[in-house]
Amino acid sequence: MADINLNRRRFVTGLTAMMGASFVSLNAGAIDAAVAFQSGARAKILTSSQLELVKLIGEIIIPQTDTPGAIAADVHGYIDYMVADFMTVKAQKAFIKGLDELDNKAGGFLKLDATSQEAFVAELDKKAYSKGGKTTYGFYRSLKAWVTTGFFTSKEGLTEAGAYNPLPGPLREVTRQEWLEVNGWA
Amino acid sequence: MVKKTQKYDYDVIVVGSGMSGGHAAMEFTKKGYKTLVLDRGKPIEHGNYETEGLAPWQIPFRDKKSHHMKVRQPLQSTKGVCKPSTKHHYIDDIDYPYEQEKPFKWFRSAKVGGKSLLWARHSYRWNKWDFKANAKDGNGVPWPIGYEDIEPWYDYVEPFIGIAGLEEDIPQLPNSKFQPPMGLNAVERMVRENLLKKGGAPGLPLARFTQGRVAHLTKPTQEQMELGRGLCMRRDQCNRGCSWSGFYSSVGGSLVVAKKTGNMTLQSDAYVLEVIYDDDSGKATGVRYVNTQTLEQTTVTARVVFMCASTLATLQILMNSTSKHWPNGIGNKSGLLGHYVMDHIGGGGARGHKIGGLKDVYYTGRAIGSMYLPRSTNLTEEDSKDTDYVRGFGFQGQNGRQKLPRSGIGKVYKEGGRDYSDTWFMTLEGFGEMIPTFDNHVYLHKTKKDKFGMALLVTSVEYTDNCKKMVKDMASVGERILYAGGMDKVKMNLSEKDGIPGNLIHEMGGAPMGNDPSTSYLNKWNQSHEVPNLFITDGAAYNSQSCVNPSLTFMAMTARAVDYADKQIKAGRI
Repeated sequence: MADINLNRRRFVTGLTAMMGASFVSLNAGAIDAAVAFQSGARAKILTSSQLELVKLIGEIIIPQTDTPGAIAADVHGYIDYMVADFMTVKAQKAFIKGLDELDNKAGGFLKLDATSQEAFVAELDKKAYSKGGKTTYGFYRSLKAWVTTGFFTSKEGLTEAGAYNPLPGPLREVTRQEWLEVNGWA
Repeated sequence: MVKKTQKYDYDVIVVGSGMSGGHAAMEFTKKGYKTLVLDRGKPIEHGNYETEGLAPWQIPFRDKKSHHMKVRQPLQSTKGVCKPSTKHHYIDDIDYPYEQEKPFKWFRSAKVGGKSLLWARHSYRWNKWDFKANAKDGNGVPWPIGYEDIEPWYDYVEPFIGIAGLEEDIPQLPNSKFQPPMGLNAVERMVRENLLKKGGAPGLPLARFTQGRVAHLTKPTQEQMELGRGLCMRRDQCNRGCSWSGFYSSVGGSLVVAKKTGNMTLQSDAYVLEVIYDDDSGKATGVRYVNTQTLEQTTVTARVVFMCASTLATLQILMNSTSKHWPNGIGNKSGLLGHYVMDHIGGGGARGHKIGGLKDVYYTGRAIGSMYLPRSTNLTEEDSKDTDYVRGFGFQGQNGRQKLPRSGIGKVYKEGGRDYSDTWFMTLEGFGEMIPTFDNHVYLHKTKKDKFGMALLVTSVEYTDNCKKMVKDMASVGERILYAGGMDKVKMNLSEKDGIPGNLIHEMGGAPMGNDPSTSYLNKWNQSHEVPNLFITDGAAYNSQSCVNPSLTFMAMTARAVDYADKQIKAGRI
C-alpha cells in the first residue's frame, strides 16, 4: 500500500513537473484518496485446484517469453477476484461449471504432463475458432478473453509486454524502421 | 444611472455551472457584477480529480463496468463512458428520479461543472441553413436570428476555449478560430483527399471529410496558460478530469476566470426548486433552492436570473415556478414551455476497409476526436432529390488498423496482439437532426416529488418517421462516402441502440425563441418575453438543433445574451 501510495504520488507530481510549473498543484490528500480507491482486499472464490487450472491455462495462452507471462502478471489472481466480485451469481456459477467441465474434458488437466496440457489447450483453441466453435467452445473463448484482458490491463502486461504510455503526446507519423528502433517490435 | 428600487443579495444569479452557466458566470463577473452561481452538483476541485492518471491495474475491475453500478445508476451506467473511473461524475439515479411516459434516457452530471466535464469535446459551428431550417420546412418555431447574429460570438468564445481543427472550405461547416489540428493519419488523408478530388461522393457533391474539431489545446495561448491550462497530452481520459485542462471544461476555464475576478460566489449542492416571481413588479426576484446535503431551503434575490441548468432541468425548474399569475410555469403565456424537445438521432452508418498500401506508416502519440464528415444531404438540388426526409446528419466515427485474428496460443498469440496489420478500417456513425414537434414534450408530475421536494419531470418524447427515414439514409450515404473515399468492402450498419431519445445526450428545446410572444417563450436575446429579467441560455432555448454537437453554440449564445443583458441593465430596463 505504501509503495502504491508513493508511486501514485510520484506519478501525479511527475505529471505536473513534466507539464511545467504553472499548473495547479495537486495536494497530497487527493493523491491519497486516489490511492485508497485502488486498494482493498481481494475477494476469492475458486478452489485451489480451480485456481491452478486457470493459472496453467493462462500461462499456456500467454507464456513467459522475453517479457513476463500470465503467471507473472497474476492473471489467475485477477480472474479469481473478478469471478468472486465482478460477476453476478449466475455468471459466477456458469464460470465455475465451465471450468469443471473443461477439467473433465481433459480427464483431469492437472494430472497431465506439461506437453499434454499444452496440446490440449492448442486443440481446444483450434476448435474454438473453427466454424461453430463460438457456441460449442463458448466457455474456452470467454476464459481466453479474461486471460487476455487480465494480462493486458496488468502492470506487467502493459508496461513490459505492451506499449503503455500514460502521456502519449501529439500524433507523429514515423516509418517502420523508426518504430522498430523505439519499440523493438512492429 | 440605474435607478435602484430594491436591495438584492446579488446582481445576478446563474443557475448551473456547466457549458452555459460557466460562460454566463465568467462574462458577468468580468463586467463587475456580483454573481451567485448555484449548482445542484457536489463540489469539485480542479486539479483534485480522484481517478485522474490511474493506470488500468489501479482501477477497480480494471475499469470494467460491473453490475454493481446498476444499483444506484441503472440509467447512467447504460452509457459506455460511465464506468468505474468516471461514475462519480454521473448522477445517482435513485436520488433523482424522473418518469418516462415515453422512453427517454436522461444523462446528468453529479458535479459542479456539469456536463462540461463529460462532453465529447467535438465543437462545430452551426451554418446559415441551420437557422433557416424551421422556416423552410415548416416544423417548430422559426428562428428569430441567423448565422450572422451568432458569428461574432463564435469568434469571441473560440480563442478562449481553444479548438483544434483543420481549416477547410466547407460551406455547411464554417471554420472556427482554430488551434493547429490534431493531425490526420494515412487512411484519413486518403479519404479526405479522395472526396476533395472527386467533388464528394455520387449524388453527394458536398460530402467532405475533415479532422474532428475538438476543444483541446494543441498550441496553448498566453491567456490559457495563465489560467493553468496546457498542451493536451492525448491521454484520452478526459472524463476523469484533467488537471491542466488540456481539454476545455468550465471548472478549468470559465469558472477559473470568474473566481479570479472576486465577483463570483459558487454554491454547490444547491438544487434550485423555483424562480420566484413578484406580481407587483412583473419580474423575477430570485430563486429558492434546497441544499441537497442538509435539505435546508434558502431564498436568494438578484436583479437578473440566468437559467443554465441544462435543457430538461431548466424546463423542470421553470415549470415548477408557479404563482397566481403563472399557474403553468413562470413566463409561460404562450403555453409552449416544455414543448419541442429534441435529441439527436443515431443508429445508421457504415464500415469499410483499406487493404494494403499503407503498411509502412507507424505512429507515436495520438489524435483525439478522430474525424468528422459534415452533413451532405438536403443541401443542394442534387443531394436532395432522392431523400424522403427533411434536415440532415453528419458522421463521427473511428478508424485504425485492423487487429489480427484472435485465435492461437503462446508466443504468437501474445505478440500478435500488438502487431500492426496492413488492413485499416473506418467506421462512420451518423448524428442526425431531429425535427421539433409540439407533441414531443416534458411536463411535471401532478403529485410525485423527489426527496428534495421537486416535482418529478415526465418525458413524452419520441423519434418521428422523419428520424427513422434519416437513419436508413445514414447507412446508404455512409456506404457511398466510404467507397468514394477509397475504402473497400464497405458494409452498411443499422442498429436500434440509439433508438431512445436522450441517448446521444444532446437534448435541446422546450423554450423557443421568437419575435411573437404568443408563439415563443424567449425573445431573440434569450430573454423571457413576459419576465424581462429572466433569461435561458442552455439547450432549452433552441428552436432546432442542427446536426452538429451543441456545446460550442451554447457558449457563444450565452456570451451574446450576457452582453445584451449588461446593456439592458445599464440602460435601466431590467
